[in-house]
Amino acid sequence: MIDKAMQNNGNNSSNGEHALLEVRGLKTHFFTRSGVVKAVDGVNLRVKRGQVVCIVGESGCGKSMTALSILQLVDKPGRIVEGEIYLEGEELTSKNRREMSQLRGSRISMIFQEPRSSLNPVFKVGKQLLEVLSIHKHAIAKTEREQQVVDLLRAVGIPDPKKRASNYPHEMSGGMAQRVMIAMGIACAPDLLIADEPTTALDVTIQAQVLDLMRKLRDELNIGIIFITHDMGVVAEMADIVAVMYAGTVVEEAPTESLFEEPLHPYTQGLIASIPIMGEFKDRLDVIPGTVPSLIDMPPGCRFASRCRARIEHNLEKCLDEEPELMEVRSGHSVRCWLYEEQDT
Amino acid sequence: MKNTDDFILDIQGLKVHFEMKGGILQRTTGVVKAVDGIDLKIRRGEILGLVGESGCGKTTVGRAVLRLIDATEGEVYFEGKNLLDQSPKTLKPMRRQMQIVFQDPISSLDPRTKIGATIAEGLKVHRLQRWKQPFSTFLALLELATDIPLWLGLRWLHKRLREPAILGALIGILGSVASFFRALAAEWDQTGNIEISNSQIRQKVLDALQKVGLEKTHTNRFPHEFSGGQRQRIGIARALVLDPTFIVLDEPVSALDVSIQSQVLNLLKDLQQQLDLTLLFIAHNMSVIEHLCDRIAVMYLGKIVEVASREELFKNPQHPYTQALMSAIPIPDPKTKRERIILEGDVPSPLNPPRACRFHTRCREAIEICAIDEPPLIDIGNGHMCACHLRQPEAAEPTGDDVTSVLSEVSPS
Repeated sequence: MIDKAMQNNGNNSSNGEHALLEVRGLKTHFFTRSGVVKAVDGVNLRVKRGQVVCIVGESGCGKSMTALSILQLVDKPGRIVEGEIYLEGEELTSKNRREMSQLRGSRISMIFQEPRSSLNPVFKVGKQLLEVLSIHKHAIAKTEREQQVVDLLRAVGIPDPKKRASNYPHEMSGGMAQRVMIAMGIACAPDLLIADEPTTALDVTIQAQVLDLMRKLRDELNIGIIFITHDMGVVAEMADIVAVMYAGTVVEEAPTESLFEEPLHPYTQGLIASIPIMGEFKDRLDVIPGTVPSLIDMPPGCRFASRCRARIEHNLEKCLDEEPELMEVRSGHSVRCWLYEEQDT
Repeated sequence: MKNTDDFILDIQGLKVHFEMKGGILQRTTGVVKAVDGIDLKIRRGEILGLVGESGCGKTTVGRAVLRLIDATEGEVYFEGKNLLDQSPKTLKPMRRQMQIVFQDPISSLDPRTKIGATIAEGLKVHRLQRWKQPFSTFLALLELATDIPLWLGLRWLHKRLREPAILGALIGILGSVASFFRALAAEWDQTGNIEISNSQIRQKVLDALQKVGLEKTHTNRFPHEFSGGQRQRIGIARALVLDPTFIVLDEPVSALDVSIQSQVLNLLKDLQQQLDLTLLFIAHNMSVIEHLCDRIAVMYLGKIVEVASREELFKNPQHPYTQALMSAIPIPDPKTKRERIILEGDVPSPLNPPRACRFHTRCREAIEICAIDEPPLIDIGNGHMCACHLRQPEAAEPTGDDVTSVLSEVSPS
């Protein structure tokens, strides 16, 4: 699957110079009464066409905020304080509201976690889909747009799409509603699709259907997908590239197989070891001791230092004082950890 | 420790139906058959996993077993006594033996109560309060005293007064006076309560906190001061404080992050061994179930479709639904490439479930009989129970070359 994705990239860009999306040093802070919450604190990300990049991390690590920052949907008191976002070479953070709203839905679209609460309960799903097309594709005749709605619903695997278009969201199951959301996401053939935990609210058998659909769409439409999840199993199935986030930063970025084969960051190692894996019974699960530090007063040094076993084992003093940079340890596999400093130089 | 025939809980033919009311007259417009006839036995000292997708009725089973929801039909024997027959008086002491831990640790804790008081609440409800003793005897007498003149008075009135309106009103008044006393008596009823002093309560709360890995100083804090994992530990401490023998855990780790989830799972496993608890563990996550449970029951649309020990179920899943469920679980290893069974369509509505075998509408292997006859849950060998027409024990299927019978023959111990 990775090979295939690589080939696709090869067609579009020669040496990866023009990645579909490039995020550099993104910082999104929230200025609250009790202090500055550094929800996203220096995130770099790169997505190519036909690639699924998974952002994985625990709740509060800033993975959803990264997605919302890309679309510039961050609400007050939060704002992007630093960083650049390039969509095919075009800078996004300097764009005004009007330019951004033209971009949203047509070139970048987003799928949210809860399909039921993202759909408007008082309009038929067909009408809601039509709205997307009316905004971004008003040049096309109305009858043709209506036909497109039916085609879209068929494309996401909804049986009897003509009849289903006149259903209200409450008449659909969770899986069906999420398919409608996906249809809405791909309605204007975007370049980039951001999916924020799209299957977390669904049952496993329905999740399997939706993941299958998203993989199919990725191959057919050759779009880039940012897939946000906390489930390592989903990551292993979907991702080409994985970015592991912890307390507002990316701590490790690697191709999927490389990450699972040899996770480098102690946090990633702990995360992978702590999941119960079906078919591999362990009497005791490994745990990561302690909890995530508060985002308001982050300790200096590495954010993971207080919970890190490797730090104690290797007796690293540096971790508590100085924050490591994301460094490439082997090809495509970068990690933010002092353990690998010597290997790097 | 695990005596195979020592069942702490025995559920027989349990049905829980919810009536849907609609229209001006609030007539019953439909019946949701959340749980529709299940049999399940839980051995003393084991962890039984109940797994299924949302809406399959697993939570309803957990609640009906504790009588938090009234069952429509069936029997639930706890330590040999049918729970569903118990009166509030006889049920109360039994409740101490059975506790529950809820899914969402945030909404199951009172935000305005300090957690010390939250944990102590159970003990206070079951505490014997001496000053109430004479009152409760008095109230019981009063209850009798209102009952007898009620009937005598009504008979007398019936003879003297021929006015039905006044009679009706009097019946109403007397009835409500009687039920007021009855409620008061039930509230103050002390039968089966435990004698415990304030300092003992405090000690028990501290013990419970220590068991779940929290500290003494935490008693004076409010729920919002804790992280998700700690809140779930508080929920577990609250269940443990009454020294129960049986705990229902309703998706206790679903709301937690993976690194916290593993801490709580390890804790549950330790507590079960230390305190010799019997647990009914309800979850939708097969990997979590496998890690914790000794035996597993799989539910689909209000029915149990398969029951087997952990080793047996994961090595040799029999029911087509269990097989599909297992193949749908993403495995965190990109190198395992499996043949996926992707089920078509959605779970049918429990308001109008399919006839006969409920899974036949989505089953890949369905044959004619599946839509006509409902398969019973039968032992197909080694205590592996399965409800499917295509999975029969060897004896019922003389043709030895059948795949399933070969499988059950091969499967060891």
